Amino acid sequence: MTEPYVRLEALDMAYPGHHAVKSLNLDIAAGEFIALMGPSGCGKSTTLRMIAGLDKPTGGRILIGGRDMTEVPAEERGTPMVWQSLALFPFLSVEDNVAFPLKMRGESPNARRRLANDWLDRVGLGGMGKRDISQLSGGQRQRVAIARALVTQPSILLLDEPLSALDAHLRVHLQTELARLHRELKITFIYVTHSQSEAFALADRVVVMADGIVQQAGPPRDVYRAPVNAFVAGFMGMNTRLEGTVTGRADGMIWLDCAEGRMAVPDTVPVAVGAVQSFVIGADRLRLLAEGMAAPVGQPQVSGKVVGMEFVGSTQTIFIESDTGRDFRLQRLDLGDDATLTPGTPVTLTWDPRHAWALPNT
Amino acid sequence: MTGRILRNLYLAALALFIAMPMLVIVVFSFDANRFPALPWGGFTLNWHREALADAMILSAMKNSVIVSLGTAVLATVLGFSAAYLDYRYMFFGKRPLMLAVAVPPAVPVTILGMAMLAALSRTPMFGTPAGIIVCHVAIAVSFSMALIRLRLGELGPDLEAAAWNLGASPLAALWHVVIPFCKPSLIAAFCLSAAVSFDEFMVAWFVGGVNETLPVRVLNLLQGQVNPKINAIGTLVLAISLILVTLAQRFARLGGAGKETA
Repeated sequence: MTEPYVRLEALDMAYPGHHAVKSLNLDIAAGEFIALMGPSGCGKSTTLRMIAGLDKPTGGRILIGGRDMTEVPAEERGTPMVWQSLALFPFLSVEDNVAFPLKMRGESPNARRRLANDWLDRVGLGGMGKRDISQLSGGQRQRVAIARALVTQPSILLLDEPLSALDAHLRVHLQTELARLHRELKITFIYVTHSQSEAFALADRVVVMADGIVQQAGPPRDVYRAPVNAFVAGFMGMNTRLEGTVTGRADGMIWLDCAEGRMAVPDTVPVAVGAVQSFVIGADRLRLLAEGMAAPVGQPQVSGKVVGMEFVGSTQTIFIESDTGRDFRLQRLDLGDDATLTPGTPVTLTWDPRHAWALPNT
Repeated sequence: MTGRILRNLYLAALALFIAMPMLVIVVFSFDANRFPALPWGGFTLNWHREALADAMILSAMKNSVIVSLGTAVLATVLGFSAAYLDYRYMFFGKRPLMLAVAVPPAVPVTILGMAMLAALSRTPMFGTPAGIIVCHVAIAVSFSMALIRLRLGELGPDLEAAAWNLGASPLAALWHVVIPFCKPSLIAAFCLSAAVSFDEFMVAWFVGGVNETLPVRVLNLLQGQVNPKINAIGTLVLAISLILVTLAQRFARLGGAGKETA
């Protein structure tokens, strides 16, 4: 890896009675779009605030562009942020909001006006500079907040759940725009979100956090297909988790004795015969067998019954409990056959063993 | 329908009951009779004219204006400081300090006046307008702080931090974000403090010495004789107070309803 642009070294944040971030190490390359994700309280926002200098870490160092920023006050860091609450100044016009950071820098009124309006044009708010913030829609305010953060041409942009207050339609729209801005500006974006879809759609690399610790960092596909532990697997929606005793390894597969039968998973972890190993299967990798059909040769076969169903537009999620009492979550294109899958219906599941993923034993 | 009429009648009666004493003063200040009595002796501006020609009344008016403006400025600045201190910081002794700011209006004014007299009589400020200002500030600052603190409560945790994040030093953020945000409540606090001081009699009487404010002049006039000029001054004081309090209410509400903090 080339010299990282942002380096977090053993960063620690302990509040009385709550250890928000625990000795976090993270390198972020210049121009990278990185998403910090995890459930609320996992420390992702605190990490962002520490990078911005709004919270003072109780341990560790923050380096930006090779400079130790740990003790540098927020106003001198050049790390503008887009807030979940937007934090626009209600007593200033749209233009003055965008010009605010320029004013703090001591730019002349003319330069401020010109740059602010350039940016308003750029985010599609040309001609709205004189309006009051209260006259704008939610999506327009969001754009003002983005323009205000970018007007000083920073080399890094922090975003704290910037889209979570918007409706689904606008969210997708602004997501596209953020991606475009990142492509054009080529600066580092650090994006905090609890939304997997936002993180995956935007980020070059996602960092999954829980309990103040980085659980896994990597490109979205790797994190999604190869979670390093049960938490990440669950967070990625791989709720189907099985375990069994290792009986042997052959042809790049580990063979296991499970309550559901003999199973194979790709051999990606060092494990000894006789040890207990757990593995996960992606919800989109599970299949239902038609009644009376047997699984293809070499594929497991697990019987159970439907316990519930969720319709999510083009896809459907089916919750199944196996006869052994395990929960399976299956996701597939909506086939319009909901009526035949009422709760209690017996079904048989299968999957390609190559798509199973053994969880590393940590 | 009848319910509405009854309700409006009730409200009108209530308003009349509250306003009656003041109305009496206003009405008789324009009465041509030397002694306020019915029937009305016809309309005249004589008493107002006489009141405004009276050198002692004019000097009292001047004192009142100086004292109430001085009080308003100081009480607003100190009220903002106390409110911001309470809003932003946690420190040892915060609760007693905030209690000390809040308590003066709850103390009977006679006691307050005596206490202030006892305190001030040992300083060169005793008997000067500055002395009255100091005492009035002690009373008005608790109102002013309460108003401003309410508004600060609406600031939200992010606005000030956003200013720092965008390159504002803590002082610049205070000046460019916190104070503009609080502006309606600052104006309200200014008007209310001015009104509190302009109307205040007891403390001004105790510590003012020869420097009479308007309410003190009115009492001294009353002690001499029944003078129709009193009604005229009363009307004037009433009008000024009403304007100040109305302004204060208007700006306080502006702050309270608040433009969205978006």
